[in-house]
Amino acid sequence: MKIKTIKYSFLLLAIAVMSAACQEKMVNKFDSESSLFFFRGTSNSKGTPQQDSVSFSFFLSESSVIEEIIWVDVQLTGMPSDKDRPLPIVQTNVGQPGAAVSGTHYVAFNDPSIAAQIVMPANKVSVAIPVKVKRTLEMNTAEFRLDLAITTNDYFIAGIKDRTSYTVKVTAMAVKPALWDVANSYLSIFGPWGQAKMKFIIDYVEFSDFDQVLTTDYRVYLAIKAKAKLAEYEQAHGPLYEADGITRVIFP
Amino acid sequence: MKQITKYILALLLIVYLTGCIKDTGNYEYLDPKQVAPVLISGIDETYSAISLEKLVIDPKLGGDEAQYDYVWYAYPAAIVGTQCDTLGKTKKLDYSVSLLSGTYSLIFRATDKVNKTSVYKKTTLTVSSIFGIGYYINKYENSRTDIDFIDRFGVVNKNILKQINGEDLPGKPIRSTYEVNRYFYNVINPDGTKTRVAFKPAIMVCTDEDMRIYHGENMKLLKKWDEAFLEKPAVKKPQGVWATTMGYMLMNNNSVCFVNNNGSNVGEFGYPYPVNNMKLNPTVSVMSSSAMVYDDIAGELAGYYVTTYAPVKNAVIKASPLTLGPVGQAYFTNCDLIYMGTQAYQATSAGRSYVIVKNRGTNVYYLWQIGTGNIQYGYIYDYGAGGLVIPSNFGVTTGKVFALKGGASTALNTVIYYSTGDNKVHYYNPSNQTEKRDLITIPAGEEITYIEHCFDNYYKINTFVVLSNKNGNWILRTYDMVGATPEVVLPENATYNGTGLAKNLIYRHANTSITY
Repeated sequence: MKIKTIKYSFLLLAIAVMSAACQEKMVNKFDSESSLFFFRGTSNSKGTPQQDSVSFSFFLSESSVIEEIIWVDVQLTGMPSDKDRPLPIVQTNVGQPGAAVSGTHYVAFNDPSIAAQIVMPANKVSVAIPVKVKRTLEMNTAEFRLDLAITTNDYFIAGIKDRTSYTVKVTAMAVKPALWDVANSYLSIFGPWGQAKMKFIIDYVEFSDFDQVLTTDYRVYLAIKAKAKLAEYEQAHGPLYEADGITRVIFP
Repeated sequence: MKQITKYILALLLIVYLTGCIKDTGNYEYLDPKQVAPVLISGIDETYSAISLEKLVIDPKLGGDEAQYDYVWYAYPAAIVGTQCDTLGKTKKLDYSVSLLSGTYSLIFRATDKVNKTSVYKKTTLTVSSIFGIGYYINKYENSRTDIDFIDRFGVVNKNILKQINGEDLPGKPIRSTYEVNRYFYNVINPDGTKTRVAFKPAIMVCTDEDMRIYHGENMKLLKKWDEAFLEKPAVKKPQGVWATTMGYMLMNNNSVCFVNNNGSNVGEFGYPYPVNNMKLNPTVSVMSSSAMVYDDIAGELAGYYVTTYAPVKNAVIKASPLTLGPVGQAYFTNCDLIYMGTQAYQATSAGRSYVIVKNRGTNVYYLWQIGTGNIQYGYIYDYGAGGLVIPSNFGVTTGKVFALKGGASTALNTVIYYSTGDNKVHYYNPSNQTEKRDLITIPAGEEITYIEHCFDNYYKINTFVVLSNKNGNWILRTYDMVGATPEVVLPENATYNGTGLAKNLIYRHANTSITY
């Protein structure tokens, strides 16, 4: 009885496979609403890393610079359109402590100077939108936060769930560079990050491009130079401390 | 279920029994000499070739030579697992030599197009550029420094830096140094992009006013002073340049900086290392990746190691021969440096470093035998001489130019050749505290400016050279050595002459890795 059952099972399986092989495949086409999300990766369309937030500081800019543009990539899920479509991007932390104020700390997205750029252009599936940040005196001692979110309008809905928000932090204080703690990077040359230390590096070591991935010989060059310059500085002015007055600036 | 098990067992039994059937295939075994190509003649056991010149080898094979595919290829003889370079795909090798200087295994293979059998012949090929073998004389003439190069055929090629590059160097010669494959540099392409050129030989030439870097194969200028630094020094006062196995070291304005051979460098010197209030004597002794220097203020030894970013100072240590760990205090200080040098041995290996100092307080002369290579461990290792007192009437204490007999001696088993700058060479033998005077006497009026024992234990280089000046011209004499003894065979083996005042020289043989 068991043998018979096995035999019939094999037969049925063979018939099922054969009939499935003859079935016409139906391809489901995308016909739902277009959605948007913020790009996330090591290099956006401007060649810079874009994760869930960015910190920008006027610290490294000339004092005459009062506005800078941070480019943020937005991408489309769905079909491109033959016309430009406005992007539904809003600030979500309005009125909260430390929140950037539209018109004061950044240029509003509906400002005529940039409104035309806050769109998904015709026949495109991604766009870099400008976040124009403005320097204020308060930024010398504080950081302001602009929380952005993709919402819904007549053309789009929010896309990939964890990529519909993005934060821009802006200040004029020194900001710890993203690459500082990466292996074989600035941490190995200069030790733990500090504002006074970073200012010393910019002013005395004459190095300010902290987005650079450094080669070994250049790291050695910077490490030796930093120690030499700090020794010279200390001989003339005494030890250098961070703002807390306790943490002494030293290089490993 | 039992039925299925039976079927499986039956199947296994069939396979098993089939394996026992005797194989009565119709194979036919033939003598390889009948079916494989046969090499009759035309390939020697060794070849020497000069870069960019032709290497022609025309082997003779048995049978129909048109029936075979041919290939010639080469790979470095001493490096296992390296990529092969294909030199030709015809029976007759007609190759314009573009391999870098060195020794290669050269392979010839002919394969029958039909039956795919091959004949294979392995020989040794030694490649060197025309600049790969010979003497580089650093000389001063018309207020400039240039190099006269004596090639393997004994021809003196005058002023090669100016001849090849259109320009020599300002200032008086200090020294030059060579390393075979650790120099990297960038080439700017026509479109403005950079291409990194890696693992090239380089010769650095240093004068008291300048330092320049040349390609070690063709002597073309790679970098001038302004291009040779990650940050150009504020003061230009070169004092010497040395090759180490971890990079090049330049002494400038009483500090040292390195081109760190770390795989990512682009051949530019980095920031000066701390000097810690020393006054660096321009005499440096190098071994492997360490450099021993001398602090003229404290009157003691110090050291630099390329990846230790501070000097090893005040650290002539009595070290344990077993652990190499320090077990004693600093041996000497407050001395004047008379001589410091390192024994040539083979490839990048060196023997011991020897130091002669004079105590400033007692005027007693001492000999030290130092393991410069141990500077990388953070101290300067004394091999146990412990400061051998040199009798004050020994001529070596008044020497102006010195040379060590090559080798990797233990104890004090070497001699120190010296000259007081006149026309004689002597040697001091510390193992029995004797001196041999007038080992070599060259014609009166000549002033000896440099002596060297050119030595390589592996490649059997064993020549003594004496470089002298007279009336604004230089003279180089080479002498064969008497076996492994410190004696030389008189008279000289060869003499070369050139114009200008010679300072010193470097000697390259076909397999020189580094000139310390």
